Amino acid sequence: MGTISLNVDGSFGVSVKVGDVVETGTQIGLSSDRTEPVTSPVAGEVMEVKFCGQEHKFVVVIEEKKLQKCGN
Amino acid sequence: MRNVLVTLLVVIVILTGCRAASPSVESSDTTSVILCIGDGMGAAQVAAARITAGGLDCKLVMEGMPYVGLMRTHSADSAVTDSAAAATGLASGIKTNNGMIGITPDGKKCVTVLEAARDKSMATGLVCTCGITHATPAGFAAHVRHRKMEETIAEQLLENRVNVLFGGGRKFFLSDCGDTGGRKDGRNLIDAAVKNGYEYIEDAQQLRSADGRYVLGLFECGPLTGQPPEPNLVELTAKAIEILSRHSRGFFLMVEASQIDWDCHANNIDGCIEKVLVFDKAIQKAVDFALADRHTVVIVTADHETGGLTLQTAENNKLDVAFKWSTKGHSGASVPVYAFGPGAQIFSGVYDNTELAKRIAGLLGIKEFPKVTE
Repeated sequence: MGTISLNVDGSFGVSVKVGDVVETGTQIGLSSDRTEPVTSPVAGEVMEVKFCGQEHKFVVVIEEKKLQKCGN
Repeated sequence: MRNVLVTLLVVIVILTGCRAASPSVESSDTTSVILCIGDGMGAAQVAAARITAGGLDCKLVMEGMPYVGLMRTHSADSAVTDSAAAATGLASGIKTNNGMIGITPDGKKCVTVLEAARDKSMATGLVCTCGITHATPAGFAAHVRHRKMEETIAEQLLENRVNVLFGGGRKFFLSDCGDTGGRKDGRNLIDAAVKNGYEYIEDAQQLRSADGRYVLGLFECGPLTGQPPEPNLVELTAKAIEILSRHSRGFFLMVEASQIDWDCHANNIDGCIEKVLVFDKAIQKAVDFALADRHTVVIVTADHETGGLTLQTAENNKLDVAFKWSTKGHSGASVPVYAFGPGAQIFSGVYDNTELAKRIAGLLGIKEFPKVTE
């Protein structure tokens, strides 16, 4: 278990906020050339969403966690 | 009737303790244009700054201008533009796709109003608080497929012989700019610029004494911080006007308050308001010059709105507002246009962002505009 950082284009925002729980494949935003969705490669919790002005991008930090599912 | 409105406006401003431009310049010809762009600054951002600075009845300098328009901002391929496509529209009068700078969607070069002004022997300038190679300034003097090609943009800004280039982004002009990195090709564009006649400056003290015909001011490796020894946007604007106004054939100057957008992306209302108020002080410098010069039009607008900001009634006080954001991205809302000076009335009405460049070109007597080349 660790943390991962994802870069998302700034113009079209980011689909998650700090505290959100995401699953593998959850869309986070768009790639820098806006041709591809950026999805979370892990399940976990969003720890940080930071806007970097000069690069005009969001950096989203996700802490990998085992998600407890209902019925388990 | 207009004089009555102007008098009323001045009385309101005096009573509220707010500042506003005196819209009393009358002239038959416009020889210079100062275009002020608040990146991401929609009507709500202006209102937020106004209310915070002086209360509900206050007016900012920009709001004291006599002519107001509303501008659509969509790009060629999206209802919501980015700064690259928006700058291309504002600068060249031509719609392009998001991400593209100064070219049509099929890759043809769009002549910008800055380039057309230069070709009429006018002086030109770009001032910003981001890197000078960022999308908005680039849109006025560069032509690349994607806004991220900032090393190429740096070359093109200098090749375009823009008289005044003030901003950050030194790392795109040098092979090594400390921790921020540098150009991949190892070139030193600053040395090359000096050899080609540019005076190069890096701090506020050097800015004050700069007197070249061509001045390159790169005050940070990255974006400006707003802290000394850097000059602030107000000082940069005043100096750019001082340098450009020495030219006898008029000038075109674009001033961008770049980081309003960044605070709106972060949904940081305090930062947003602070940046809008500094921008308003820079606009005051432009208006002061236009009042004295009488041949300069000052236009204030935005490239797009950022954050989907709304002002709602505060929970415990009906006369106060609460700020709410609807997105961390850009929105498709129209943006205000404020104009002052000879010919400013043509910026009234509701129109597309591509119209702005066409109207500026018309004011300056630029023929064949918009114009596309291979």
